[in-house]
Amino acid sequence: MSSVSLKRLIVKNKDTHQLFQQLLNLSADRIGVVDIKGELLLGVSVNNAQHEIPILLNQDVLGWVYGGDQAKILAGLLTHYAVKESERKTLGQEVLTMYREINVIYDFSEKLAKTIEPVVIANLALEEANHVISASGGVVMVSKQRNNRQLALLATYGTQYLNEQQLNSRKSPFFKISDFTRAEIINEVKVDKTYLALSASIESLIYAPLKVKENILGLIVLFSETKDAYKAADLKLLTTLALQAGSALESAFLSMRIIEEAKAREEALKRVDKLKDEFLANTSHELRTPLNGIIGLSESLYDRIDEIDQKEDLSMIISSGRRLASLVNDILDFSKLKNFDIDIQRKPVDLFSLTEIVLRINAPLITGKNLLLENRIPANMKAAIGDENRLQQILNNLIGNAIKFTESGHVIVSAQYTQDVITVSVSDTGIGIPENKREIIFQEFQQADGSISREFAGTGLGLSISKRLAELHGGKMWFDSEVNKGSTFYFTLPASDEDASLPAGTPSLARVANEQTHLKSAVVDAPKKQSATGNGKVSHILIVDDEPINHQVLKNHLSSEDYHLTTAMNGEDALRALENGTKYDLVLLDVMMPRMTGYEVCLKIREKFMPSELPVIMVTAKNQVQDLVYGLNIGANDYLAKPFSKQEFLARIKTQLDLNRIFDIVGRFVPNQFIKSLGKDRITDVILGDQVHKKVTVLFTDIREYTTISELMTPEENFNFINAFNLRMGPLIQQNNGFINQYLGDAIMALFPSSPQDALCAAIEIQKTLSQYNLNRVEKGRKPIKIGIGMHTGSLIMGITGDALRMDAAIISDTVNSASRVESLSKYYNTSILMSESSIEGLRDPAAFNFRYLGKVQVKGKHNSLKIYECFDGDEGDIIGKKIKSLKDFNEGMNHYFDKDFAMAALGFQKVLRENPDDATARLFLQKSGQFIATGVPPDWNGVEVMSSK
Amino acid sequence: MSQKILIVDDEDHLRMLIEQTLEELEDEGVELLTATNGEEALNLIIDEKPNLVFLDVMMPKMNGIEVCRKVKQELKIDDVFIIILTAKGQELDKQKGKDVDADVYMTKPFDPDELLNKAREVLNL
Repeated sequence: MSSVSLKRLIVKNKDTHQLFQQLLNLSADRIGVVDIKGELLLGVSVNNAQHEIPILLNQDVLGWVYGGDQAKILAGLLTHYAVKESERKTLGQEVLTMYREINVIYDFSEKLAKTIEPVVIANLALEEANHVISASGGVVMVSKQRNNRQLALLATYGTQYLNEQQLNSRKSPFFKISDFTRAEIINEVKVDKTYLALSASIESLIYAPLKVKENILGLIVLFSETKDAYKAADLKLLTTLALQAGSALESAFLSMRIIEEAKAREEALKRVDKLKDEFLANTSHELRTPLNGIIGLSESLYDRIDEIDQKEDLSMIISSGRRLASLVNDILDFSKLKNFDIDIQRKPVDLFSLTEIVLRINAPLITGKNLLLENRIPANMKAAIGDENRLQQILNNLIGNAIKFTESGHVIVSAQYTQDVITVSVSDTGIGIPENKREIIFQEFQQADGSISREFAGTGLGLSISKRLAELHGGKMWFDSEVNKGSTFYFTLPASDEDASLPAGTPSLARVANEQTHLKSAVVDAPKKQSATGNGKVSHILIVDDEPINHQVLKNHLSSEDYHLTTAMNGEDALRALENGTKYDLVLLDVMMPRMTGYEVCLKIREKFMPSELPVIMVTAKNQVQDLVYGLNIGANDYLAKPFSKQEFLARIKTQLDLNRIFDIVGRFVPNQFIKSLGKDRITDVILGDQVHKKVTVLFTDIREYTTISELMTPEENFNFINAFNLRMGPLIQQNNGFINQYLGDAIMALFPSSPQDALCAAIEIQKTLSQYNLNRVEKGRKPIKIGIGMHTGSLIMGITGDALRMDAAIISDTVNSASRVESLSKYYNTSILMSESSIEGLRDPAAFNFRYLGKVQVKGKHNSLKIYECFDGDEGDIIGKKIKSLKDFNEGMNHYFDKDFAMAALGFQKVLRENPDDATARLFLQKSGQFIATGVPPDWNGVEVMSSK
Repeated sequence: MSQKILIVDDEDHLRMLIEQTLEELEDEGVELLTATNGEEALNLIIDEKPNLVFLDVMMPKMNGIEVCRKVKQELKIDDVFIIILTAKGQELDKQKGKDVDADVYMTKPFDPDELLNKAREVLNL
């Protein structure tokens, strides 16, 4: 500490220097002021001065004043200034000390703010304390736990003075730390007894409690080898530091405890979460098997029972089961996704077809809604790379959601290709997603609104799964939404350079192109295997799949059996193959094919063939129930989900073929078309009372003068004759889309539901076949037989009549009667085929046939007359030519006949007979004309032939 | 010729604190000068040519930065060591100090020991 310097007081301080200078100038005496070193500070050097007065400050001599009496006054003044200066200095030092302390506290606070580590806090406290309070060493200790008598030394300094072990033991002076409630200075340290933990050289000690409220957390202790090292000011500073350190430590301990607890909770949660996942995965898997059993059995039971009430209950069980199954699948997927367990089988996928499938599957969901589902993906869209099943899952989910949350408007699926990325969007006009729910929509078990979940069912897993699946494909998923306007969900997929129709990884491009043209255009007939048994009919199976590899797999499976196999690469080729007349016994149809899905192919097949006629087995990799249900609903007989075992595959095929054979036999008794007309697929579906109102063409054939023929034959010969006849004619009717409703002895009644042209073609073929048959008869010396054919088109009711035990297919209609009448007229007019105007009108292509108008006929019991036409295309070859040649004359004759100009009419018919003397029809009208010329025409004659007898 | 330190601050208590801190240097022949604003400081620097200046920034009439700029860049007095003193947290001043060629930058509240040591270092004491 600097002492007061007289020199500085007098010379360097301008104010005092001036003051003293003035005093000296006023004084008459010679005065000199000299400092302790003898240097003259003021006045003049005075020898033998009257007075020599020392300037004293606390007994210390600062200097002397020499001179007369005046010097006494000056000395007193100087002494006063020196005292003042000394006081100022002391004060200044104190202020500086305080400033230092404030600085320390300021600094400490600043550093504390940057840490929550107890050890760091303790060290900081010690460091700061040591900065202002001199110490040989120090320690910060805390009790390990509240009220626990164990100390932790958080920070130490000057360890050479410390016995840490003892300090922390029961012998420690600070052992009962809660006793140290106040800061203290101990200047006479009795190391031998109380402070055993400290080095013997320690003389003084200062400590302050780390205190929060009334809790003593610990103690900060400083010690020194210097005696009486500490003062009250130090105590104040240390207390302040200790208070600050105390609260900092308290928060640090608290946050440590919170962090530890949080960590422990997190660990526990993680454990539970993992257990939950495992449990879910395991139970979900275990649930699937019995669930599928329940659904499958319920479905089969549903088909077997008739009680409407029970059916309703069962359908509830089935739909609940399906919901549960889809939930279980979701959960399983979810846990797989969580464990990165999902295997993505990448290959090019045709998004257009995939969307078609998903939209079809979901179509039942829009029932009762004014909603339009639309696939706007361009059919020529690039293929995406992905797992077909998973992509379908994503689409299914997004489309299902869109339908679920949309009451009216549309759900549109579209896609865009940009730079190797395909963005698929599913947009709806539904309720939208509220702003505050947009964050959570992709989280598990979330729906936009908790309250919605009552109205809208679902697990809330779908979107989360879909998003993750999209991400697993290297894409992303997001959405736009506006409340009450609708939402659009987007996801991206990598685009493929390959065509979706080709299996991925085909070796060379050139070869691919070749194979492609070859495979795509052709329906390939496999070499027919020689039948081992020989006499059994070899079943013909059509395999439709876009992947050649699958052809091979199926062929391999089927090779052990005796089947005739034909393969097609796509739906179009398959349909062509079915239309070219070859009879197939079974179609194996892949669902996912580009351009035309298996579903579409199946629908097309069902337009022509009933399930009982041509069984279709869907082969699909899908494992989702709704796929299968959809397939069966549109007419598939069965499905096979890939992968399947060979045994299962063969067994199912055999079942279908056997069933088909049974249906084939049954169909001979009740025509398939009849059943089809009733809107049923199988004879087993038909129930009593089923009926349908339809416009059909009824065709009757009758063997002329059969009674005469039959009289010459035994009953057995008769039977054989009729059978032989029917055996020849039956197929002609069936080939022309007709079916035989009844064999009535020598007569046949056939129905043609689609067009009279079918009936006419059948009639012509029957007559042609008969001509050939007659050649045989003539050769054998038998008399040729003649058939009359009549047809009429009109509405009729087809139905099942009878009782529960015996049911018959029955036709109730006037059309049948009319057709029968028209047939009998053919005898009268001597024509081979006769048809009414209504049949002519229904012809698709009337110009392809040759007709002669024969006038109106009123048959017995009818008020309305029928216009009758002869078709002579079924006549023998040379007759057709003659009839064509004489057609003009015949028509002129008919016109004159109806104009009652019978002479001119007779002339016309004579011309016809000159050309064709065998034209019995012309001869009939010539006779009639002659009769009218001879007897005159009745006054009410209008050209209508009234037939009074059959 | 004795060495001189100029203390410039418009706040009395701070000027006194710095003076107090540096007072012991007087015993070693160092002369302490004080100024309460920038103008006075500039004049003293020109007249007294102190070896070391503790220069506050926020002052009336002329601020510390301006004083420093005039001294270092206009008058090009390069045998004066200027320590800029500024309140903690005003980091912008630090850059300003560098821009006008201040030698050292110290923050207030200052650590008395650090201040004293710095002064001794500059004056070679």
